[in-house]
Amino acid sequence: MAYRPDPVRVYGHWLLAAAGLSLAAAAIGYGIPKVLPTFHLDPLALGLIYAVIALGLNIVNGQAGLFSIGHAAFAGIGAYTAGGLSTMVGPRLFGWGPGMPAQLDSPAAAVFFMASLLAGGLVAALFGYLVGIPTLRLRGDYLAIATLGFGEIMRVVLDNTASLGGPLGMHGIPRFTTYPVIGVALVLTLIVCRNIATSVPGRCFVALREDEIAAESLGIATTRVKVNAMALSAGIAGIGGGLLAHRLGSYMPVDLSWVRSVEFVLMVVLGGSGSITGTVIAAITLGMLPGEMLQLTKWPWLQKLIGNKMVVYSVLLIVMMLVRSLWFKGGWELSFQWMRDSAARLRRRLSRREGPANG
Amino acid sequence: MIFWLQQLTNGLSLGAIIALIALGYTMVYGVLKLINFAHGDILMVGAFVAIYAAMWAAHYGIPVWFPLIMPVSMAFCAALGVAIEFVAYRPLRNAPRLASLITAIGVSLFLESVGQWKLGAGRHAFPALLSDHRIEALAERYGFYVYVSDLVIFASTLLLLVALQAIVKFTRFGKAMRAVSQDPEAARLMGVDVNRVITGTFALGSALAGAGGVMWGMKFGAADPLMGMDPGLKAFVAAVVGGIGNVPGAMVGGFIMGVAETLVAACSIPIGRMWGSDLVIVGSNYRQALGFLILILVLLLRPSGLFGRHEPEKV
Amino acid sequence: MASDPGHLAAPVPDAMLELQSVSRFFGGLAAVRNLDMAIGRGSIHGLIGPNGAGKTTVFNLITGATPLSSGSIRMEGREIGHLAPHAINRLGVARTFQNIRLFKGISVFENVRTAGSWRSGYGWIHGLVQGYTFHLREAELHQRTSELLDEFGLAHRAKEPAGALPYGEQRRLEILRALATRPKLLLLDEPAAGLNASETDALMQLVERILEQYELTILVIEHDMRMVMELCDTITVLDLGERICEGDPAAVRNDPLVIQAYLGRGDTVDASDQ
Ligand SMILES: Nc1ncnc2c1ncn2[C@@H]1O[C@H](COP(=O)(O)OP(=O)(O)O)[C@@H](O)[C@H]1O
Ligand SMILES: [Mg+2]
Repeated sequence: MAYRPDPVRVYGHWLLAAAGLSLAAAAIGYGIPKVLPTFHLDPLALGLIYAVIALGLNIVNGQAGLFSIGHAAFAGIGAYTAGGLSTMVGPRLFGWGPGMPAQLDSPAAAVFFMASLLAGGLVAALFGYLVGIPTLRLRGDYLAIATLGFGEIMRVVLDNTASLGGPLGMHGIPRFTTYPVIGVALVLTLIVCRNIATSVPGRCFVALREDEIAAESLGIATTRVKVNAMALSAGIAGIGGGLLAHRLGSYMPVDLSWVRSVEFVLMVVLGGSGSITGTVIAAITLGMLPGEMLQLTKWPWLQKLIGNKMVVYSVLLIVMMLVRSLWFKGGWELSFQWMRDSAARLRRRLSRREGPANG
Repeated sequence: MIFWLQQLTNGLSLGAIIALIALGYTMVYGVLKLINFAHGDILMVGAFVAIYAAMWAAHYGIPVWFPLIMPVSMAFCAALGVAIEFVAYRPLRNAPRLASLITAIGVSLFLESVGQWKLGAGRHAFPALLSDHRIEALAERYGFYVYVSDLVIFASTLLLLVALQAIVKFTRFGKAMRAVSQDPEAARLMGVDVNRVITGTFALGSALAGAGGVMWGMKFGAADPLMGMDPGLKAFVAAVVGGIGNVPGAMVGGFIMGVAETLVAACSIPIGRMWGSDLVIVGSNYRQALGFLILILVLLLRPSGLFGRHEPEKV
Repeated sequence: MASDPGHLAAPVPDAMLELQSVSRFFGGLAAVRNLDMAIGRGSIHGLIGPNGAGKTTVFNLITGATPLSSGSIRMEGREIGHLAPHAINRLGVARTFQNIRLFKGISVFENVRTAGSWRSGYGWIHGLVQGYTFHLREAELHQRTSELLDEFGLAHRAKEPAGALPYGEQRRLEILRALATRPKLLLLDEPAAGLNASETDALMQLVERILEQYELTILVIEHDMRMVMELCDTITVLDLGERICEGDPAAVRNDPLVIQAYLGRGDTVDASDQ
C-alpha cells in the first residue's frame, strides 16, 4: 500500500545533483574569473561572500521570523577566529612569514584554512547559542534590540582588546579567499540552507514564524528550535565572516557595528524574507554596489548625476521599501519543481492558444 | 566624595537631555509601534538649525539668546518630523514591521549623508547661547563646579518634561494619543482621528529632539552631521529600559543612562597583572557598551522594560 | 455556587484525562477554581458555560499553554500538569483554538505536513544529507498528509495559503492539522462558532467520523446547544470558573442551576432557540 521511493532513483538524483553542484562551484570558481572583466571581480567576490552571510541571516530573519540586528557581530566573531588562526597559528605551522604573501601551496595548508573557517563558524555558532538562550524569549522588536546590543558590546570589547589589534583590528590576514574557495563555500552553504528548508527543521522554523503558540501546541519544541535556528544562522554567518576576512586581508571592530548588521538585514528583506534565491540575488546586488559605484569615476557625467553615493543609497533604500512590488515575492524559490510547473503552465497556455485556431 | 558628587551632577544633567530625546522614541513607538531610527538625526538637524539661526540673528543684530533660538529649532524639527512621517512612514502603515523599520533606517542614512554632503563631515563650533559662568562660591569652597549653562539646560529640560507629561495626561490630544497607543483600531472606532494623532506625536517628539539637539550642542560645544548617532542610540536604549511606549519610563531610563554612563566613565578598575603589565578596565572605553549591558540585563529581568506592561499573548 | 453533589455523574472507570481540583488565578480572578473532571476513553465530552466561564482557560491548562495555579492533570494516568505544550502534544493531546490559529502564510498542505512533522522519524542530519531514509520518511509523511486532506475534502485547496480559505474551511483545516499529530485526545474550542446551520451539520458529521476512525476521545467547547446536545455523551457546565453541573445531555438541560446560569445572563440552553 505504502509508496516506497526507488533507491536507485533517489541516489541517482542525488549523484546528479552532486555533479551539477560541483559544476556550479567550478563555474563560479574558474569560469567567472575567466569571463568577467577584472574590475568587476572584486565587487562580485564581496557580493558572493555577503550572500553566504545573508543566507545565514535568512534562516532566523526570513524563515524563523526572529529579528536579529546582530549578525555583523557573528560574522565578525568568525572573522576574528579564522583570521586569528591564520595570522597566529598558521605562520608557526607553515612558515607564513610577515610581509610575504601567504599561499595555500600545500594540501595541509588548505586543510588548515578550511579548518580555521569551520572553527570560526563553530565559535560564532556557540555565541549564537549562548546569546540565544536568554534573549530568544524576547519578542519581536525587543529581540532585535537585544541582538543589536550584543553586537555593539562585541564591537566595543574588540575595540579595547589590544591583543586583537584594538580599534585598528586584525591585519595581514592572508588572502586565501580566492574565487574557487568562494565557489565551494557558496555552493555548500546553498545546499545546507536548501536542505534544511525542505526538511523538518526548516518547516519548524516557518511554523515558528507563522504562529509560535500554534506550533508549540502541535508538538514543536519552539524554544529549542529557536536556539538551534540562531546557532545555525550564526554559524553560517561566522563562516562567511572568515571568508570575508581572508578576502579583505583585515578585519576591524567597526565591521561588527549594527550599521553593518542592518545591511545584511536589508539583503534578506529585499530578497523577499525567507526566499533563498531572493536573498542570494539581493546580497550579490547590494554587495557589489559600493565597489561598482567606485567604477563610476570612469564616467564623470554619471558620477556628477549621482552626486553623493550615500545619498543615493539611502534614497534607493526608502524608495525600494515604498515600492514593495519590486521585491522578490516571499517564498518563491528557483527550484526544479518551479521549473517543471512553469514549463507545464507554458505548454498549457500554448496548447490553449492553438486549440481554437485548429478547431 | 566631592568627585562622585560632581560626577553625579554631570550624570543628571546628561540624563535629562537623554530623557528628553528618549521621549520622542517612546511616543512614536507608543502610537505607531515603530522604532524611529531617524530620531537621532532629527536632533542633529535641530543643532544645525540653531547654529544657522544664531548666525542669522547675529547678522541682523538680534540678540543670540537661548530662549529665542531654541523655539526656532523645535519648530523646524517638528515640521521635519511631520514631513518624514508623511513621506516615508505613512505609506507603509500596513506593511510588515520590518519594512517600516528599514525605511526608518533609510531616512536616518539620508539625513546623515545629506548632512555630510552639504555641511561637510567636520565639526562645527556651536555658538555660546548661554553665559559660561560657574557658581564661584561652590567652586571656591568645595571645588565643586556647577555652570550656569548646565543649570539652565537642566531646568529647561525639566520644564519640557513636565510640560509634556501635562500634555499627555490632561489634554484632549494626550488622551487621544494614549488611546491610540493602547488600541489604534478601537480608538478609531471611538472617533479618534488616528492620522492626526500620529502627526501630532511626530511633531511633539521631533520638537523635543530639536530641543535636545540644541542642548547637546551647547553641552559639548560642537555639532557634526553624525552627532545624532550617539545620543540617539543612548536615548533609544533609555526608552527601552524604561519600557518603550511609556512616557515616565523614558524619563527614568534617560536619567539611569546619563548617571550610569558618567559614573562608569569615571571609574577604572584594575583587574590584575598579565604579561608584566597592569590590566585595567578603563571605564570610559566601555561607555558605549555600558548602555547595552544595562539594556540586556533589564530586558532579561523584565522583558518589557522597567515600567512596560508585560502582556503574555492571550491564547 | 459550589458544585452540587446531586449532579455529579458516576465516576468514569476508564479515564483518558483526569483533572483534580485544578485552579488557575489571574491576579485576584479565579478563571478556574477547584475543577474536577474526568473524560472517558472514546467519549465526546462537552464543556459549556457562559462567556468568561473559564472554558478556554481549562483548555490552556490541559495543553500547558497556561501554567496551573494548583491541582493536577493526568493523561492516561500520567501527570502532565508541569509539562510544556509540545511535550503534552507528544503524549497525545491536540487542540484547536477559539480564534483560529492557522499558519496563515503557508499552504494548506504545509499546515498539515508541518503539524505531523515531529513524527517524521528522521533527524536533521537526514534532512541535511537527504539520502534514502529521508526520502522514504518524507514520502510517508507526504502520503499521510495527502490522505488526510483527501479524506476530509480539502485536497483541492492544498496549494492555497491557509489564510485565503473561507472561514468554515479554516475551522476544518485546523481540526485536520491537529489530527495530523495523531492525538488520542482532541480538544475543540468552539468549532462551530461562525458557521451556518449546514456547515455545523457537516462539522458534526466530521467530528463523529474522526471519533470512530481515529479512536479519539474528544473534549469540545461549544455554544451551539443543538450540537452539544446531539453529540456529547457527557457535559460539564462551568460558570465563573466552577463546575455547576455534570451529566448526560438530558440531565444538564433540565438542571435548574444551568438554566439560571444561562438565563441570568440572557443566553439560552434551549435547542429550539438556535
Ligand atoms: N491570560 C489571561 N490573563 C488575564 N485574564 C485572563 C487570561 N485568560 C483568561 N482570563 C480571564 O479568565 C476568565 C475566563 O476566560 P476564558 O477561559 O477565556 O472564558 P471562556 O472561554 O469560558 O469564554 C475571563 O474572565 C478572562 O478575562
Ligand atoms: Mg473561550
